[in-house]
Amino acid sequence: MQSSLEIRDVRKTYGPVHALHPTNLTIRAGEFLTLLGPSGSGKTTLLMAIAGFVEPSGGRMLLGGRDITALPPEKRNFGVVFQGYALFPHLTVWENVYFPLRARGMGRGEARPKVEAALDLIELGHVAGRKPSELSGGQQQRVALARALVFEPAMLLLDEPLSALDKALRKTLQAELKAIHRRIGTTFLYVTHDQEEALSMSDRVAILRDGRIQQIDSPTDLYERPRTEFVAGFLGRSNFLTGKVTGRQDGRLLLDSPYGRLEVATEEQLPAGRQVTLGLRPERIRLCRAVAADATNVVAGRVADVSYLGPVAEVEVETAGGRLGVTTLTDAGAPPVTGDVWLQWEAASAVLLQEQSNLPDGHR
Amino acid sequence: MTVAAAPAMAGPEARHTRRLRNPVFLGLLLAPCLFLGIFYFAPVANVLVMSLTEPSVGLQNYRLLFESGAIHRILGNTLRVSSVTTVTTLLLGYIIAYGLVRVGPRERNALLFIVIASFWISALIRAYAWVAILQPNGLVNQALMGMGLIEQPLRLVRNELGVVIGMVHYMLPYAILPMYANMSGIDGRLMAAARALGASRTKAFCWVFLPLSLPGLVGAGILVMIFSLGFYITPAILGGGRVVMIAEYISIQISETLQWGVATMLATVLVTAVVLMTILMSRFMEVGGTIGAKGKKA
Repeated sequence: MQSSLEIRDVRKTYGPVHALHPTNLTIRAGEFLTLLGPSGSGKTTLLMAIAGFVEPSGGRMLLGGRDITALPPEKRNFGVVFQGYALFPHLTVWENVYFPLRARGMGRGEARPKVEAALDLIELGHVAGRKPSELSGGQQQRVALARALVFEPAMLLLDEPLSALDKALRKTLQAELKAIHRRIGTTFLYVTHDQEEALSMSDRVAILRDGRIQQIDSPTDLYERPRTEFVAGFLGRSNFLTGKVTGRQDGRLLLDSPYGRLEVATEEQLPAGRQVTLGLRPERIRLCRAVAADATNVVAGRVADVSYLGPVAEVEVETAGGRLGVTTLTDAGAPPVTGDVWLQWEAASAVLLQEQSNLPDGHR
Repeated sequence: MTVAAAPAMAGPEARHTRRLRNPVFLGLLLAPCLFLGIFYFAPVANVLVMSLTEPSVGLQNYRLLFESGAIHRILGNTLRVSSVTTVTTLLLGYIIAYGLVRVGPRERNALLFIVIASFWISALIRAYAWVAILQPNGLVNQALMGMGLIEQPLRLVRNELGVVIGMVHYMLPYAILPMYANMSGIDGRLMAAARALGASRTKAFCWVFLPLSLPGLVGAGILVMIFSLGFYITPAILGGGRVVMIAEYISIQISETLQWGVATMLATVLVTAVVLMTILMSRFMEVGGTIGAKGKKA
């Protein structure tokens, strides 16, 4: 039975260094939650605190309402897949998978069906008798997964499990992990610095930076409605446009900017004169030779650079307000875009970003 | 021990042969061989020959191995003292080596310095220092009597206990360093993984760390055993003539009773035992090397 894990004000300091500022997070039962962030963002510290290897400097962790903050790792009943797998080199694949059951006092005979089921799950029953050193990286990764799942843990913690593998294999294993998650319904808490990995696998992604959770949302919401400049820039590419609020009209905020008059759809009520930043994805901008007279968010520019990437082309356009990146689908036989162009986007395409200082801050 | 590095030496064949043809390299290789041949292997061969020819040709010296009560006693002493020394050294050395891999880098450097520093003091000085510490009116007995824990001084020296204490002290670095080298090759995440999978500290140690450190333990054990079997100074001084081991007995046969046949026979037996154990050790050290490397990779 899966239960949710509640993280309340958990923090970790090493002397004067805040590895993790007080953090609140609820990991829902059965979800695939990814902690995403650059190195030093505190994602691994948070994972290791949940696993029981890092003692929090403060705060509590409740698993289905039960306080687990003081429990040693072996009493938490969480499966952990370590970076580099950490398979036991002196034991066979079978014995590696049997290890957690043995630690729980289960005899070999009793454990056999469970070990075999776990090896079947990862389709590696045929290498049960081999030592880890005789397996490929992908196989080792699967064995580590089977070993962490065989005892039906309350939650599975994965610390950058795919980082040592090449790109093609990583793709395959991502799909496999997702399929296994769907099949067994165990809560997965996944740590990675790979944005694509996070977006493609997770139900929700928490983005961390400097020991703080910046935003936690579904992959779609994170990409489409980033709340801060950091999130918008960390996930994919983004243009940042600054302007001054001049008024409100039909659920839109009107801005005066170096690019001209801009409109952005938002619920936010901001006083006139307030300086704001907009995030705008390059693929949300239309690049055209001519625009309708009543169109909103129209910026004139001149093509400065084109990078052809196959399915899409990345176009850099010089405008009155500065350079804007535009991604357009390529068209067979069409000549490359050059010269003077119009840029245009819908009021709902741009996102009003919060200033860093407006973020809910849990510092100390 | 450098035995583990042997497979790495297998480089491109061509370069080897080219270097061998170069007279300078050839000379550099042959000179030490020649030196060892004349001053080491020839005398050892001579010892072997003498054990079969002194005082007359035949196996009569070797028959003493089965018939002489005195030699049985000496061999018994040697095996017993060496075994007790080896087991005690391994036990203490394992704990220290384990401590070395677990402490922080600064503490590790300090500890390693202490371990290595004991190499700098000669066995002779250390043996006499132990006599001074352990004798009836020595440091230990005076302290114990001063605290009122004992009435009579304990007999700590000029017996087997004294010999073992002195030998364990001498052997410890030889046990600690190979075991430390082996243990530092064990991936620390393996212990964390064992804990995360539900094993207590004790189970994680017994099921993961101990088996992975076994090659180092066995290798160190054989090394200490080899050294202990032929040990001379420490048992001679701390045993006070009461605990005679094979090396001291050989020395007596040569310089006092002048039974060179018996002495060379015992020397041959000792050398054979040591050579066999060295072969055994090189096997284990190789296994240790590969397991250590695998541990790192996995």
